[in-house]
Amino acid sequence: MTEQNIRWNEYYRESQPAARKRVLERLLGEGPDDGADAFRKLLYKSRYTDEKDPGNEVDLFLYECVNLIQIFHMGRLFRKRAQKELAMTGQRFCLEAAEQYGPVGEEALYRELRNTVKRYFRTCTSSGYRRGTFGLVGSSAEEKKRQMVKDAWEMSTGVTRKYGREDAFRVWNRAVREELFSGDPEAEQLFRDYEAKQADH
Amino acid sequence: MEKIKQIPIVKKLGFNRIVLFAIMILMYIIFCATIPGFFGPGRIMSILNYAYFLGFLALGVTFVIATGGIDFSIGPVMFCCALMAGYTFGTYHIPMVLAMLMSVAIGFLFGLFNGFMVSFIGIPPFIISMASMNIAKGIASVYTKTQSVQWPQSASDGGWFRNIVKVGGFPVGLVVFICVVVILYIILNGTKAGRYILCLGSNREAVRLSGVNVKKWMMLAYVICGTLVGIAALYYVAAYTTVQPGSGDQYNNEAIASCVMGGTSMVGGLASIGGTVLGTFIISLLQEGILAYRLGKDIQLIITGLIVIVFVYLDVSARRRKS
Repeated sequence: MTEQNIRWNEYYRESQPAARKRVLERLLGEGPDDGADAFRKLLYKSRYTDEKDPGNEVDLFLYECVNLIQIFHMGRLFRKRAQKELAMTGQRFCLEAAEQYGPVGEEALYRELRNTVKRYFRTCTSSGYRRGTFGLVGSSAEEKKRQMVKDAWEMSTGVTRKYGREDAFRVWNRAVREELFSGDPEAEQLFRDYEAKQADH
Repeated sequence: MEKIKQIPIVKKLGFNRIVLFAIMILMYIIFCATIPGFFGPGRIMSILNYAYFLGFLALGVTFVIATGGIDFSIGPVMFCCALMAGYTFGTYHIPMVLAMLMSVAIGFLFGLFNGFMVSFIGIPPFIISMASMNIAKGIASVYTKTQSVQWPQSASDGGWFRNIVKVGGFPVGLVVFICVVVILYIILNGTKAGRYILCLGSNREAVRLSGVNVKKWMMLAYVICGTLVGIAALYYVAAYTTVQPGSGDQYNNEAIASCVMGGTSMVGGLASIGGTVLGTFIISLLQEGILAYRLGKDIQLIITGLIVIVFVYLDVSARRRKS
């Protein structure tokens, strides 16, 4: 890991938008610019700014995690719409914009997306996550983990493969996989098993 | 089985839907073969009469189940709508249009109440809908003084309202039902509201943290359900005319069975309008078959209860298998 990457660790570890903003401003002020500072600002803006209501506290990248699962499940009648929505998600994630900044831009994007996925995975441990039978039955830790792995596959490999956008979303797919695998070694096996099962289908 | 699933047309239409459709056709063939006089337009109209009101109930509850919740009050609320609006029409002689609007408005208000209590107060959907069920029965009984209510016959004053089911031999109800199905399909799959409702069922905490007004969209699902229950009440009385206070519970099971059978996940986040419609027609056909076999209402209840158990079990086991 380069010196620049270590310098930004604090920013990518933090999950609260307000705290991240403080760290971002401080680190940008401390310099030096590795060539991706402007892109980090762009990512922050794209993730946390509600253009229609600037006062509203949002995490649009986090919303895209849930939205991508829904795009994966969209019916064939809405295939064109799904492709359009996936392209819009790519824009929201600044996938194309990252290319202008070269490898440092891609690294900044990767770490931002991992931060997003980490926040998503944290929500998967909440008591309300995937409660069974009309919300009456709570899920066990094991069931939640399996469901989380399924979500991870659908929001990354699943949806991008379904609509032929695996290459465009390769940074996103890598961020989801590596964040999932880093938290729990068993998750990698579950992910591979789920992927193999989907390939059979 | 996997080979069948890979056939392009099967992939396009969906394997589950094809199986449901095949079940429906098979049931119809069995009933026609074993019950004299079952085959014919009269019986189909009768099945449709049942499918209209049950379909509106099932479509409504599909939205609630999509959020990961449940509404067990839909049957009694439907009866409450029909009883109060019918009683007001008969006793205070209000115009039929107002009585019809009153029915929809009562359903809407129950949906608003349930949605508010679930979203803003945080009472579990199971509890609040059980309470609403009793409230609906109670209000209807008090308002009608525990009398059954008779909506007008076709030839009577205000009887024109029965045209919402059929005019002459033309099934107007089917046209309305198809239009509502298309609208709901677009709402659920093609609008922001529908997407939020599905996302809520998928991971409510993530949606909340992303800044979406979770309470508002959750409440909307219950309001849509309530409004459709109000419309279902109109189709019920247009087909059967008489409504008894203190009942309606059995339709909860049937609507939920139609919904789950059609592929709507009980965990939320996945819903199928087309599947719910197919489920509705299967349940309606089954009810008509049971009636034609002269098995009685009690057997009907047992069979519907068993169907709910079977499909809930299938949903749970499919979820376990998938993960």
